Amino acid sequence: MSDTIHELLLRLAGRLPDDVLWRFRDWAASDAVVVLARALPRTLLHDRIGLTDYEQQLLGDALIPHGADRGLISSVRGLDELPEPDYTFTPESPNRVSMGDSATVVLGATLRGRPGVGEVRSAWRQRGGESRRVILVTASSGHTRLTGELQRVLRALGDHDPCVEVLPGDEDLPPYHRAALAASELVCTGAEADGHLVPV
Amino acid sequence: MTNDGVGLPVRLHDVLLALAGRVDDDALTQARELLAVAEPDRAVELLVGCLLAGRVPVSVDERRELGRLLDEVRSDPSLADRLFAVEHVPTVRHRFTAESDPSDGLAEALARTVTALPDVRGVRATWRSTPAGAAHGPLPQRVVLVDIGPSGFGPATAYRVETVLRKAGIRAAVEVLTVGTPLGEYHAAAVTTAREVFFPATPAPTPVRVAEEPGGTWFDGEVQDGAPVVEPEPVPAEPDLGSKSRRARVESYEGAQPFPPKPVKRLPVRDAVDEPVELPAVVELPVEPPVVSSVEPIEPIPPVEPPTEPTPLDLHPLSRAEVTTELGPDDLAALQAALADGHPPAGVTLPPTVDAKLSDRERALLQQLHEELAQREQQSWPAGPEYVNGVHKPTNGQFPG
Repeated sequence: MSDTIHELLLRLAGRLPDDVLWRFRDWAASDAVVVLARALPRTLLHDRIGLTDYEQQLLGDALIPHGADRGLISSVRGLDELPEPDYTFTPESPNRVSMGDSATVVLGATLRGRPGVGEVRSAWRQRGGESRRVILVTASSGHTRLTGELQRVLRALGDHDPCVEVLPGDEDLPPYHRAALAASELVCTGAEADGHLVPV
Repeated sequence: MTNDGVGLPVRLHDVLLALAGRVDDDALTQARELLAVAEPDRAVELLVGCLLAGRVPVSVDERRELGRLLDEVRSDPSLADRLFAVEHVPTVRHRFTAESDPSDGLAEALARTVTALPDVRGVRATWRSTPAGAAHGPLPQRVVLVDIGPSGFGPATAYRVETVLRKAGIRAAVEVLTVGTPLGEYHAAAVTTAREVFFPATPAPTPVRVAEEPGGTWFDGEVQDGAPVVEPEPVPAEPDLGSKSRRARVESYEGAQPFPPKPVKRLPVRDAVDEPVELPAVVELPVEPPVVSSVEPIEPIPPVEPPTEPTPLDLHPLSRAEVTTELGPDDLAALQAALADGHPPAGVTLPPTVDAKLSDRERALLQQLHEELAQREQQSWPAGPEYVNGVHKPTNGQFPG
């Protein structure tokens, strides 16, 4: 069930506002799923965000058991296919200053060699003059909890709306994550780094 | 916490204030934004979600109030039952400091916004060096405290001030406090160290300025339409609070004033029921819990007209720029002549903002003059007796009889 919510929220990256998405993922990692069951459908309706048939199925499976309104879920607009991301990804921030990068240093210290964690990569997303870091992590289990943990670390380091994408690694990734991975650079590897997310 | 006939936005704003320092600042900011843009349902659910996710302790009263709010926005009131309610909410001690000037850059960023917003009384800032909430942000956190009067709108003020600051590249937790309402521990501690934001003098506005600033009438369209009009009658000593809402009431601070209330004429306030209350320029009350001390109120903005006289500078409503309020020889002579005539010195009536800047000595002199005038006016001598209370009846023509 938790994996279902995680997969749904993962697929909404770049489609929900960052400040909303990180909060929903934080709720999914804690005891606030019942509120998420009300807030997520309402946000999708409010922002006119559409879902594919598969995502509609995820939405219902994940949230109806927690009290989501079937009527609201049925009102979510349908999508034939996922749109291409409206972002540009680069390995480095165009605004980067030569003061070091505390976030990657802390992530490296936290995740290097950790069981269940594969590659940890970083990319920068740009749109409309705004640049934002995206952290991509592969993990074999505990995706929701790891997402919540890394989000809190990045927030404490000054990223108010962290973009943390914890990927199962064995499924067909949405266009957003494929584009981010293609432009990403390696930060560190955990104990599960059998394969590579990006061909080397 | 009871409904008490107070509107949902105001009650939710109060709940958000009570949770400051316990929920992360971004959550409070987002909830206030949702409240300000008329989406209270999402605001309440966001707040409840953050409380659940962070397992933030709430009091039984707070849980009950949140349940009512959920019900009123047609959400599920049973969500409140999942909150972590405790008998005594553990006190989260926060450290605030005003070192390294927390007000830096705020005056430039906020000058226009605080002018446009209704009834903003003052802005202060401090640094908080302790985390707040389960998913807290970087430290130190700048906290901006905005004081509003009873005619102000808490959620709107918080939303617009925070938005303007963010556009200026300043991240801050914006807390809007209503003058005269008790402060919680968090805000009391913040106020103790907060440094006031001084708004500099700005170039005089031109008629074009209003056209360039459509936000100037946002939320307060009826407020700034008329020019300040001097009221013909003195303000009654006891304001009639009969049918006013709980939020609209403001404590009387007259007992804390260094001088008795002056029968000065007041500028009109936006809401007639708020008219009788005037707060002193600086209030220090040894009361518990502490209340927001009023800083200098903003004058209603007069309609823009071509200036009759060239003025090089127009002081910002919250400006602390030095204003010369010494009475000139002519004014003093007019006061003395008026005293001799028994007529109020109409030519030297001072607006409240100038009046608030009088020195103690000047205020004492004015007070003495007012008292003597009032004493004479009250002596409406009936015809007949030559003595009243052992005093000769005046025969200077001012009190015929």
